Amino acid sequence: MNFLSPASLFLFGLAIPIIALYILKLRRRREPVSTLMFWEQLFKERQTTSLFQRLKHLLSLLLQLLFLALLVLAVARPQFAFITKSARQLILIVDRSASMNAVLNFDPESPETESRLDSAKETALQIVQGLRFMDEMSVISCHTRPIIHTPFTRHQKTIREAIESIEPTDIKTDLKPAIDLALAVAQTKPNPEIIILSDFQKISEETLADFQNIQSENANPDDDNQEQKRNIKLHLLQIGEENDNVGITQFRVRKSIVNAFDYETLLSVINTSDEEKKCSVELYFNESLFDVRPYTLSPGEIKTEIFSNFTFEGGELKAVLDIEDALKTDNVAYATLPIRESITVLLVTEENPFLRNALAVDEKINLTVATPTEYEANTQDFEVVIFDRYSPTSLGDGNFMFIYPPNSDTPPNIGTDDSVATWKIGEEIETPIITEWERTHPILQHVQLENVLIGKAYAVTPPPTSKILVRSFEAPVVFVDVTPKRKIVFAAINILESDLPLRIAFPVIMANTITWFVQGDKIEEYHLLTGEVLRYKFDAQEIEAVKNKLPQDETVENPQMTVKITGPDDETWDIPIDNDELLFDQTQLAGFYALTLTDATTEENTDTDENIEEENTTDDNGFKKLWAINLASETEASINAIDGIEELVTETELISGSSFFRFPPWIYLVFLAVILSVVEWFMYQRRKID
Amino acid sequence: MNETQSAFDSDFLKQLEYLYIVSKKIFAGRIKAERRSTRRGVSVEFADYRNYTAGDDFRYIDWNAFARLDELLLKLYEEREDLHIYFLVDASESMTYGELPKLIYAKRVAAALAYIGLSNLDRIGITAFNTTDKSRLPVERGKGKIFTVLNFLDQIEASGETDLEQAFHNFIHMTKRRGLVVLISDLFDPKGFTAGLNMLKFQKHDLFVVHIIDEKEAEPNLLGDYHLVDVETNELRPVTINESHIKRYQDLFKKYCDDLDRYCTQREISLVRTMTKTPFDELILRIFRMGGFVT
Repeated sequence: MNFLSPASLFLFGLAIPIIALYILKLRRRREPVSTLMFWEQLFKERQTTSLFQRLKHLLSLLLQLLFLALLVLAVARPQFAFITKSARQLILIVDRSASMNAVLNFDPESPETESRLDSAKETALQIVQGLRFMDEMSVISCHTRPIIHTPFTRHQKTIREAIESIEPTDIKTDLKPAIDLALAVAQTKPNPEIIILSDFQKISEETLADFQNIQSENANPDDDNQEQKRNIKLHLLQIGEENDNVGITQFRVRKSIVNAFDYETLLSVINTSDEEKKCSVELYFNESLFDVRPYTLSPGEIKTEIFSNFTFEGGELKAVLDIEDALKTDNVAYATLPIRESITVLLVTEENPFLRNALAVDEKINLTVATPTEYEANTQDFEVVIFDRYSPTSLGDGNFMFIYPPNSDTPPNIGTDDSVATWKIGEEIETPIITEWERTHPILQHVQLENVLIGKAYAVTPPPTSKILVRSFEAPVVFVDVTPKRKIVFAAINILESDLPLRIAFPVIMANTITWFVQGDKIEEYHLLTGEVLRYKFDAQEIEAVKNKLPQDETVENPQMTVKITGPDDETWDIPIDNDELLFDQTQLAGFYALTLTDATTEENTDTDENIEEENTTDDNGFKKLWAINLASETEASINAIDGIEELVTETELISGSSFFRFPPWIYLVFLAVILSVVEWFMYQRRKID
Repeated sequence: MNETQSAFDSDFLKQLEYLYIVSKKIFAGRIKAERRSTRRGVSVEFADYRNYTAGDDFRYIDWNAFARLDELLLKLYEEREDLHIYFLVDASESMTYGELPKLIYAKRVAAALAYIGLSNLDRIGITAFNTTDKSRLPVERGKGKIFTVLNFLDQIEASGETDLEQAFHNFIHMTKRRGLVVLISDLFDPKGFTAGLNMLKFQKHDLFVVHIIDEKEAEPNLLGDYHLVDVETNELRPVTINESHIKRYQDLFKKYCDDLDRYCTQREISLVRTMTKTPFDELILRIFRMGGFVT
């Protein structure tokens, strides 16, 4: 036995005044009585020997000395080796994935809203209640990645606060990283125990095998790793029961196949229950209902539907399943419809009616036609510039398409950026035949190039950084070259000597090219799954707008640029911008996330109504980006535990209540001292002791 | 304890007259009139018959009976006599115990009973006894002697210890005629009460015991460490008293009283026990109702 505070043992010296005070004789009160004969008789019957009297006297002294000894030992804080050695190191893993938001015991008639996560936290707190005083616990929560809420600590208040701080998320489940982390940590501890609180609705086979290996006593003893894992106690505590659920597993917006300037929305709904479910899907645009579709889903059925021909744009699209089930998170899905802005396109050509007509057919293209002479004389900013059989002498940043440029040894001077690759035009090729093309590339989507007749083309040598889209037997025909500041599409064919302009593929290619130049895959960037990192690259104009919002403080040389992100619950984050790029990883809840500029002038005094008014009317130059974050997970929609886990789930003594060694020894000593004082008081009152 | 407290005041004297009137009513319902003697003598109350013997007075022969039975029978009549009532008042130091000292209470009881006795033309004698003083009032008769009685009682002071045997021994030797002995005492004699009472009983006295106790003697309210002081001997006894001691004390006290009750019952001694908190007139009426004072 050791003492944490051995100096306190000097308090045993207090025994001296106790003994001294005890030696002093008690002064008795004088009480006259009419006769002593009854008292004499009484005390004659109970006549105690002087030895017993002394013992009785001594017993009182001993009780007081024992009381002092218990208190002094308590203050000295003794430590017992056997308790220290038996101390456990518990790693508590709480699953907080989307399925843990399911109502614990779902009943459509009952208003109960306690979720599986609430139950898991309650169970976790019960486990903390049963910890022995030397036990350490670390709290980890997980969805797709683990988060350590507290490292190993014995401080139960800290552990409880860590458990209380676990918030629900709409992220899908992946226990493996958390388990790997826990195993790695546990193998460094003498008595590790891992407790997993989860609904176990999705576990990989590898993880399941890990569980079995840890729990199996027949692990291979020759395997050192297995040997270490065998020393780890694993407690799997299943939270929640089997419940029905219908959920949206996909809700995505993409460009229309038939019209590059239209949108299509893909919606998938799954019924994971064992009985047929009837529900309806309500579609809202900016919170206004515009469509309702009734669904009847047989058990396990996935129904997929595509919505197209949207007449609106630039807003929030929301799909809501009108059904009462255990998990409400996947009953709503979100999407954004970008604004279909006009694209300024400059066509530099002497004359090409095919090109002009192909570009003019789309009302979203703001086409300007110029001759090479006019182009050289007045260079304006256009989002896309198409050079038809012409090559400028210099080229700035932007999006350019070269169609059969003049045969020149040197491509246009493209500035001082040496990193920009160049192409080299070789000999002319007669009637090349297209042999292969990249069907999956956005420019060539929905395009058929078989048997296209081409009169003339160049044997072009594309730069190494380029990507060849169309190839003939002899040489590449079409390639793209993308650099950070420039996108180039190069077509080495003379379309005036080809039947391509007469094919349907031609306007499609042109539309795809314009869209690829301007928007590329951006529509996909605004649709993420919960837990994914939101990335956004600011252009120069946007960066300038952010800088204008910075406080005008000359003492700060390089003030940190920040923008504001507003989440689904109106929670806001101020996110710094590094290298003109935004990274945001708090996409834990499904919903819309809006990116706006931080107004520094109003942020400092947001308490006054005047400032709030000012903030609401702040002109952000219309800068607002909207992301739709969805759970959209088929595995998460299945909220029932996987097969095979029930054999591993065991009743554990961890939540059976408090253990004897829950408190440090000094508390028991104080408790004993209190009991002793009560006994002493009782005995004194009963005159068992003097 | 208030030793200067007078036992008799004007209210007390009024109570005496009231008690006498009440006692007459009670006796009227029970034993009709004055005290009767067991001796046969001359009076108007027929007692018995006996056979005529030579020398008997012819006037008492029942001639009617002779006519019917042809046998000479002599009629016997009860002889009337005045009664001697002796009050033995305990004047030991223990009688000073209590908020209302037992001695004051004893004096009042003695005075009340003496007044009633004098009113009934009985002869009253009072003896105060303890180990140091044995003051005595000779036998008096007549209601007019009540003030003599009261003065005597008023002058009794408590001192010394209780020794019943010694006290009664002196009493017997100074009292030739038998009578009713009214003993008023707490009977706290360390040597016991039986020897003294036996002595009185042996002398053919009718015995009436008034046992006076204080409430604190029956149920002491003592817990803790004390030096108990015997008020008679000033002896000190260091004790530590707890609840079990108190309970045992009460058992012992009850046993003492039970022994006294049993003793008196076996020897046809009238006994009345009272606490000083009981109003003395209530005690007097109780005595009359139980009938022990007048046999």
